[in-house]
Amino acid sequence: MTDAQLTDTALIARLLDGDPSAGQLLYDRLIRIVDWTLHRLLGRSQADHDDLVQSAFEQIVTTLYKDTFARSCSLTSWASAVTTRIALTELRTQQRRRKNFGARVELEEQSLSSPIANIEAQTAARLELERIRRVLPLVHPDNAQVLILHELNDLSLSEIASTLGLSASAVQTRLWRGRKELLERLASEDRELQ
Amino acid sequence: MTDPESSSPLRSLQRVSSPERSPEAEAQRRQRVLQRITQLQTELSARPESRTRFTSVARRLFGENLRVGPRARYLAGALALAAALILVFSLSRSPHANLQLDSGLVFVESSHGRLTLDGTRRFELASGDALTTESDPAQLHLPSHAALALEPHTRVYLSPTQGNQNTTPDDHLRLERGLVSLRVPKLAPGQQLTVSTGDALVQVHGTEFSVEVIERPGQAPITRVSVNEGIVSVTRASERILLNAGQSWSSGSAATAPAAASEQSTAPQPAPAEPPPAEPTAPEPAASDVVTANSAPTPAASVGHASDLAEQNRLFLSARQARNSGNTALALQQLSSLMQRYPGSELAHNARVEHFRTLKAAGRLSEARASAGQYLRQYPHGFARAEATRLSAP
Repeated sequence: MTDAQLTDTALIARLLDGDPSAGQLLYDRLIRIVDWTLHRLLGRSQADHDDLVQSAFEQIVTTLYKDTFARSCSLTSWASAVTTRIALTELRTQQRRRKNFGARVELEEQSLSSPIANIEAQTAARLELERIRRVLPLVHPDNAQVLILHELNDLSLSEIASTLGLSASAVQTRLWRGRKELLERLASEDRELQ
Repeated sequence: MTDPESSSPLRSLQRVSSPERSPEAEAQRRQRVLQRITQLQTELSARPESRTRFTSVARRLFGENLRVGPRARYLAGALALAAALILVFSLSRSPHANLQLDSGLVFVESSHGRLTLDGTRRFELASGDALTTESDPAQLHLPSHAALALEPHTRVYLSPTQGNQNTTPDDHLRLERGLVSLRVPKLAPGQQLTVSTGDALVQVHGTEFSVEVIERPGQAPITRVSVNEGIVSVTRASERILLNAGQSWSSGSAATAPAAASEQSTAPQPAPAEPPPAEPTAPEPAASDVVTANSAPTPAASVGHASDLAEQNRLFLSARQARNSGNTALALQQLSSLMQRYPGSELAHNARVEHFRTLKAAGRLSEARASAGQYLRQYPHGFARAEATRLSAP
């Protein structure tokens, strides 16, 4: 069996046994989902982004050692759940910073995977992304996490249930509440702007 | 009221893709994260939590979907108790040693796997566990309080045993490869510290020294011993020599050591008591590898000089005082020094008698027997022949 074919369980066992190569396999297996989740939710600058990537891996390894990882889900789903939490915490931190210090929010250059025809449309898309990022930390974190895992990372409800150790109905409730909260917050912000 | 099912604003975030990274930037980040993962592996494996460890093991045994409910917890408790009893039982049967890692990075290899230790920490080593270093050196303290320095790429086994008084553990090190240096404090009477290699056994008498196994392609490895302070004895096949401070010895035929001095050359069974579990794999040595000391005093019959007589008296009295105060190591060191430096003197005769008596009093009977045998060969009509004969009799 090649390293790429190694099951999640075997990889975790090697990691817990202190095998140094297991760290490399873990990184290679999870870096894409960690990187991708952070970029989508935060759109951060390079230096901070790498710090958050490291934090995500630290938390993943720590949870594996503390055995809080629900082994019925895949490592990738677990990594996306952990990274989502980190990204939400970071979004809330930014929110507080803006409130406390009145920091000016600059429109970041974003890499948009689908081409957008003109500059106006591109700017509108970027503004929309910023608006969602502004509002997302106001949503209850439990509900926001389920919402992100389902709508952004495309995890099924049963996958989310096994990843977070919840029943399917609890996941559905959180998802419904998360959507509702997000839409209400967006609407509230629109009203304030008007 | 907004219908939460009607739209998904988050979907707009899906259009964001990760920016391209240069291979250098990615390699840098990968290295940084991997270093942190390795660090966490070391930190977290050094303080395992029993409950989570149990759950982990149970999950491996009973399947991935194990749910830990109240009944499972009772079962877990019962199993943990049984495991603890088994552990206590096994601990009482196999010798363990508590070591202190002072600095560096060391790996403990046992049948259960490999444990990485760094920083400053206490840990336990079972008989048969190997201590290894890779590219970093490590400094430790042994149960006998001796300081042990492991150079990079060294592998050593520790076989702790109880000493003669049940309170002073003996340390037996078996050096498989690399270089170890030791600083040994004053040992308790009867206490031993030995280092064995494939072709030599080094016994300590309270000193600072190093032992190195030098590997040679296509040939058996050779052993080199260097003494910085005090005195050590090296036994190879049926030969035993004493090394003083500044002297070194090599088991290779082309000796590279700057100095060495011999004490006994033909003792039939002069090995120290209770040799450690060495596994000699090297071929039997051909001839003595002892190199005569360049700087050590010539062991000629230098009786007659007033200064020599004064020095002999000083050594002998000093040995007596050390023995009376319980410092066996120093007493033996002084007596050996006297016998080496003034082999033809009258006091050397007394020193030999004093030597086997001191060993006997310290409970090191096999060494005492060897020393008494040496006395009988050297002084067949000596005044202590009856005593030496009784002691050397099997």
